[in-house]
Amino acid sequence: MTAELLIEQFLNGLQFGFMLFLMSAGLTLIFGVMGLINLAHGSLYMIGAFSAAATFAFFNSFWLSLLASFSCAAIVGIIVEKTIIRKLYNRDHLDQVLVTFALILFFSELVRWIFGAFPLYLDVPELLNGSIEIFSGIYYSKYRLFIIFVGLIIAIFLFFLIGKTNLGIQIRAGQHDREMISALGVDISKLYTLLFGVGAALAGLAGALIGTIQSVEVGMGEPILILAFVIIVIGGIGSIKGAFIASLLVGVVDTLGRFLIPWVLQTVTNPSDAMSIGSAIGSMLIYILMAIILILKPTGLYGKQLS
Amino acid sequence: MNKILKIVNLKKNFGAITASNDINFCLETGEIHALIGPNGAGKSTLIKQIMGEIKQDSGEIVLSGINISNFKTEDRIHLGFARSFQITDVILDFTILQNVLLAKIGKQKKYYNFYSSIESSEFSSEEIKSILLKIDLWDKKETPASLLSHGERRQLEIGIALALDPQLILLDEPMAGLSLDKIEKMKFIFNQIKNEVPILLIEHNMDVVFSIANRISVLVNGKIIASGTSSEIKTNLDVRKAYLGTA
Amino acid sequence: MISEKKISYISLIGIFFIAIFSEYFDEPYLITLLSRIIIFSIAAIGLNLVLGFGNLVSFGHAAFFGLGGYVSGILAIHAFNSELLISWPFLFSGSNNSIIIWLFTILFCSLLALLVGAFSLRTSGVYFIMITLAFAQMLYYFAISWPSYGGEDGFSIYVRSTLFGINTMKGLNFFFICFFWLLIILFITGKVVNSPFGLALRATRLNLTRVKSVGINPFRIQLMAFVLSGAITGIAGSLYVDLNRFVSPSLLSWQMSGEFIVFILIGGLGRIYGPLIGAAFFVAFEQFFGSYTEHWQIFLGIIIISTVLFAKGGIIGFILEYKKNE
Repeated sequence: MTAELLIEQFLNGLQFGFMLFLMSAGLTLIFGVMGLINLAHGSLYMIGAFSAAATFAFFNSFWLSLLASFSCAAIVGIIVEKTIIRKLYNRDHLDQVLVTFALILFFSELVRWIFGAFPLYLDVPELLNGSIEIFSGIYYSKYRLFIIFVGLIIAIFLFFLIGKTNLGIQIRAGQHDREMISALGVDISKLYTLLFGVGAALAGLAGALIGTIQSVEVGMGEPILILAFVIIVIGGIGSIKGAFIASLLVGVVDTLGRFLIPWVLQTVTNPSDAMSIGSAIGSMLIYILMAIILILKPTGLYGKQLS
Repeated sequence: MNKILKIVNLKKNFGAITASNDINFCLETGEIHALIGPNGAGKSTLIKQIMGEIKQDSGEIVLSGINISNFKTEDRIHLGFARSFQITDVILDFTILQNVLLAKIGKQKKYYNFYSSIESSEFSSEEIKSILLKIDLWDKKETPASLLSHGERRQLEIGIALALDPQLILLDEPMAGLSLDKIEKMKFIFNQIKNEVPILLIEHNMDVVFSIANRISVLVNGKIIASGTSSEIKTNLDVRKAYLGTA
Repeated sequence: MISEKKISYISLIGIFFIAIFSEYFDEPYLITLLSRIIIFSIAAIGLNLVLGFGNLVSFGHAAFFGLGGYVSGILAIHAFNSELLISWPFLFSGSNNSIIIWLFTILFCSLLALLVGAFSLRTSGVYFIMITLAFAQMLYYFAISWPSYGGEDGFSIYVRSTLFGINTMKGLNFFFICFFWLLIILFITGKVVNSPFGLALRATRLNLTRVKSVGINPFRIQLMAFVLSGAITGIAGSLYVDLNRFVSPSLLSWQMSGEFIVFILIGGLGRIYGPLIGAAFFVAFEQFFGSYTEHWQIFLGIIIISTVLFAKGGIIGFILEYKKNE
C-alpha cells in the first residue's frame, strides 16, 4: 500500500463526511428545535437527486441541475411540513417514526412511478473533470475537492447563521425552551417551516452532489439517512457542532475502515478470508463506534444531559 | 415504646452552609411525629438523608437496630421505608387496585412472576382489601387514578405506602391543597394507621400538626431546637422566637 | 356489544377456516398468504410486548427476525449438505429437526436481545430508537458482506424442516404448524401481560419514579421483556425462512423493522391481538392493491399517515369506537 492511496482514501472519507454533514445538519436542527424524528429526510435527498437528473436531461447543465436539486427539495419539504409534519410536533416519537416512515413509502413509490426503476446518471461538468495535483505527486479528483469545498462553505454558513444572526438566536432559544421562543414574540410556525425548508434544501443538494458520483435511483436516500442518524446520535441530538465533528468522524472511519481492515487482516490470514472478514467488519465499524460512544456518553458527544 | 427510627448526631454541610447541625431525633411505634420548621430550616435535606438520596457527612441513621447510614435508597425501601411524595405521583392510567397491587408486587418481589394472573386470589387478597378499606377507596377500586379527585389521589398514595408493608411512613405535606373536609378525612385515616405504622409527618398546616401529632420536633437553621407534645411546643419560648421573632 | 376478545376470536377462527376452505378449493397460494400473515403477526406480537406494553420503541426488531431466520437456515443447509457446522467441542452438522431448530433460534435470539437490550436500555427516547436501529443495521451489513452464507444474495434451503414425521412441504400442514405457534404465543403474551411482571412492565411505561419507589428495578423488568420479545420475533423469523425456504439479508433490513411497527399500529397499539389484525390487513392490502398497480405502497403510505393522524386506536380501536357510538 502506498501513502498516495492512503491519502486519497482519507480525502474520500473527508468528502463523504462533508456530504453527510449536509444531511445531518438539517436532521439535527429539525430534531433539536421541533423535537421531530424525520425519517423522510432521505426522501428529500432522493428528490433532490432526481430533480437534478431530470433538469440535467432537459438542459444538460450541471449548474442548473444543482439549483434545481435544492430548490425542488425545499419546495417539497415546505409543502410536506405545512400539510403533514406540523401535526406531528406534539406527538410522541412513535407517531413521528410511523408517519415519516409512511412518507418514505409514498415518495419512493411516487418517484419510481414517475421515473421508472432504472438508475439515472448525472455528468460531472467539464470544469471539474479530471484530477488536480494537491501535493507533489499526489493527484485528487477535482469534483470531490469541489464537494469538500461546498461542504465547507455550507458549514461556515450554518455556524454563522446559528451563532451570529437573529434567526440563530431564535433557533437556539427554541432548542433550549420551546415555550420561551413564543414568549419572545416569534412566529413559531413560520420559523419551523423555514427551518424544515432549509434542512430539505441541504438534503436535496447533497443528493445531487452524491448522485453525480454514484447513480440516481429509488432507495438511495435510506442508507445515507441511517448514517445521518448515526451521526446525530454520536454528535448529540440538536448540536450542529456535534453533527459536524461526527460527520467527518463517520465519513473517515467508514471509508478508511473498509479500506484498511482487510489490508491489516491480510497480514494474519489468507487474502480471500481477509477480504471477506475485513469488509464485514469494515461495514459494521461505524455502528460499533456509535454503540461505544453511547455507552460512554448516553446523550452523544455534545448532547444535552438527560434530566 | 420501641424506637423504630433513630437519628444520632447527624451532620450535613453544603460548603459554608450547615443544613443539618448535629440532629438527634427518633420515631417510636404507635406515634405520629411531626417535623416542623420555617422554610429553609433544612427539612427536605433531612428527609433526603433519611431516604438515602443524599449522604450525611457524619452521624448515624438506625432503623430497628440496623445501622442503615450507608444504604442506598432502594435498599432502604426494601427494609421498610415508605414515602408519600409532595407531588402526588400515582400511575394515572392504572386503577386504584392496580396501583396498590404494583406496590405489593414490588414489596414481595413478585415482579418476575410471568404466569399468575393479577386478578387471581393470590394477589387480590384480604390484605389488599383491608388497605383499600383503610384509605376508604374500596368502593372505587376499579376506577382509574386519572379520574380521582386530588384528595382521593392522596388517599391512594397512603394506600400504596401501606402496601409496601413499611416499618414507618414518611408523609411530605400530605394536606397541601386539600379542602377542609378532606383534611378531616385524612386526619381520621392517619389516626387509624398510626397504630400499625408510625408516621413521620412534615406539614405546614399547624392546626393539623397540633391536633394529630403525638410529638413534634422543631427544626430551625439545621438544628432541632425543641421536641415535645403539642402543648409543650406551643408554650416553648425558643419556638415562639423562631416563628414569631418575639418571645 | 362487541368486545376486543370477540374481534380476536372471530379473526382467529376466520383465518383457520379460510385455510381449510382454500385447501378444499385447491388454492395453495392463499394458504401461503395466510401462513405469512400468521408469521408476521407473531413477529409483531413479539415487538408489541416491548412497544405496546413497555413503550420501548425498538426500531431494530428485524435483527431478531433475521437472526432467527439465519440460525434456522444455516442449521438446515448444513444438514441438507451433510456439511460440518462446527467440529469442536463435538461434531455437529446442523439439523433438519424443527424442534432443534426452534430451540437454537430461541437461544440465539434471547442472547442477542440480552446484549442489545443491556446496551440500548441505558438510553431512552430517540436515542433508544436509534441504537436499536444501529444494532439491526450492524447485523444487516454483516450478513451482506459475509460471503459464506450467500452474502447479498442469501441462500436457499430447498426443503422445510421436519416435525414428528408431518409432511411440512404440504402447505396446509405447514399452516397448521404456524397456527399452533400463533396460539402458543398469544397464550404466553396474554399470560405475561396480565401477570405481576406485566403489571410492572406496563408501569415502567407510565411512571418510572413510581416504579422505583415501590422497590422495582425498571431496567431489569424492561430487559426481561426485551429478551422475551426478541425470542418471539426470532421464532417468527425461523418460520418465515421455512415458509419461503429462502434466507436473505432483507430479513434484517430496517424496512422490516418499520413494517412490524406498522402492523402493530394498524391493528391497535398495546392490544394483544392488534398485530394479528394489522398483519392480516397489511397482507390483504398488498394483495388487493398489488393486483391493480405495482405502486400500491403509495396508498399504503397514505393509509398509515391517516391512521396515525386521525385514527389512533387502529382497526380494533376503530371498531370498538364505532360500535360504542351505534
